[in-house]
Amino acid sequence: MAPHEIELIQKARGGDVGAFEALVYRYDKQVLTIAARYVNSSDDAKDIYQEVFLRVYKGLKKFQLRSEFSTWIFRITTNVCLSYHSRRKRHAHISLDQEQDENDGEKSHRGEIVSEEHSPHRQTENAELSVRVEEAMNVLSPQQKLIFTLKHYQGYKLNEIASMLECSEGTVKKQLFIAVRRLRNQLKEFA
Amino acid sequence: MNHKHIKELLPTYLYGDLAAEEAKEIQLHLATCGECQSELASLKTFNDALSNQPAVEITDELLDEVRQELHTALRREAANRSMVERIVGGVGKIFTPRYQFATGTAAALLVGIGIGYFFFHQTNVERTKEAGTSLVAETSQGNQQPAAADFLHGDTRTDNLRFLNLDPQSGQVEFTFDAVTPMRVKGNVNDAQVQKVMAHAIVNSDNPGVRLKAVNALAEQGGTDAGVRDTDPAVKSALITALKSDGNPGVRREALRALIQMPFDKEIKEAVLFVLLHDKNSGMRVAAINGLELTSHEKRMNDSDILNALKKKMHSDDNNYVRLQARTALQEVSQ
Repeated sequence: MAPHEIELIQKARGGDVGAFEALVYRYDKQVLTIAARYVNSSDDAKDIYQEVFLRVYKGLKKFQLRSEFSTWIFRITTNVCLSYHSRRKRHAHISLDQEQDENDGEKSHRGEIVSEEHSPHRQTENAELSVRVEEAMNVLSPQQKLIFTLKHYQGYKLNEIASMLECSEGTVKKQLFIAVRRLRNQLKEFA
Repeated sequence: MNHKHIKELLPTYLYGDLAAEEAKEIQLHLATCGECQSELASLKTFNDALSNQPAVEITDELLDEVRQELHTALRREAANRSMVERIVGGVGKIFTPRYQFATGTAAALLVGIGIGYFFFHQTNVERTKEAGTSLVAETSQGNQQPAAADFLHGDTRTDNLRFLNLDPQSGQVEFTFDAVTPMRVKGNVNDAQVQKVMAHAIVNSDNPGVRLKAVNALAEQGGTDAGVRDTDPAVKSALITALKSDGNPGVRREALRALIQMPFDKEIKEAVLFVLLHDKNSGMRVAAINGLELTSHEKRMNDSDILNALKKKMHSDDNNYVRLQARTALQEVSQ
């Protein structure tokens, strides 16, 4: 780690918010990009961004200086992305249940969400592709989705992804293969 | 590697992210395996199609927005952390020793603009911090249990009383409550502790009038020698937060006025440039230009960041007056 980075970390640990900002502004665009690609929504990406850096801020005192700071930030980013996915899923279940009560279970609520996403506002070709890909992505597990996003859209190397997710490169390769296979099954028109 | 294993590695191979030996082995296999050739071609078509998927664009504006939100959240977090540390560590050193001994009762907590502390009797009660803002007063065993009123004094307000235990036979009760005691402080705005309370109010008070008065007090004092010399970094930080993110333009303007009077360092420069480039209020953008002009006699206007920001505004600001002011400022620099 660069000496300047260590100095900023030490200042930030002492409560210097300016030093903390100087420290994280080196990586925050990447964090926002990962989040935006993962959730495909700027609002959700903003939530993830804020949660990541508040976690970094709160956890800074426990950070071991022998590790790479950037790796630690991206590890937190992937953790927040993965948990954000499951939180949203839980939230969606609650909403769906509530809606089911209100409508006395007459409709398929997942179907309602899908049809909403196919609203007339999304009729351009790219938007349609986006919706199709997003639907297909939802078939993946959060980890597969994240691995695919990091690899396909952001070009991270296998070892970088493995480090972020704290797993082996072999696991990343395997999950990437499964992700691609599942996506191709969902998006046969492009395969 | 067998055919199945190689097929599994094709997506990674296509991304060019395999070790040289693995890639070579796959190339050799591809030369003789029609199924894998076809699979690779299909994968490539698929990848190309997916790459056309539009992404959320990370614009400078979006990045500025999230940074601004983070900035506010961090200041709040830092203020809360500092508050908890002060409570736990005995902030009493600032204002309270006299009251602690005099009242000998329950705790006080600083809230709102940061004024108000819980007090508690050190010998008869035992404190436990609960949920950050509530202190539990637990009566001591046996004799001389203080009556509820003895926990309080003056204008102390109580709220949120909850019974944990109520034993009619023994008369023992156990409860928690929040007590907030208004404080009256009279002192010089150059006093470091007074400035800290002001800084806390600037960042945390919901009342724009309170924020404005606090910023104003610091701005008024900033021009004096003592003000310039004695400004606490936490105060500067609070003023920068207000300048960049307060929803009230009056507060932002006063914060700018206060900051411009301080030694013009990198942090202040960045904050003023942030206003010039991003504040939606054209009056604030003009004030930022004027603030920068005030520093021109010390040749700070020759700073490339400032010159670039002014040039950008001169050409692209949607307000005529801002463009004109930026042009005038640049002309003055070039003379």
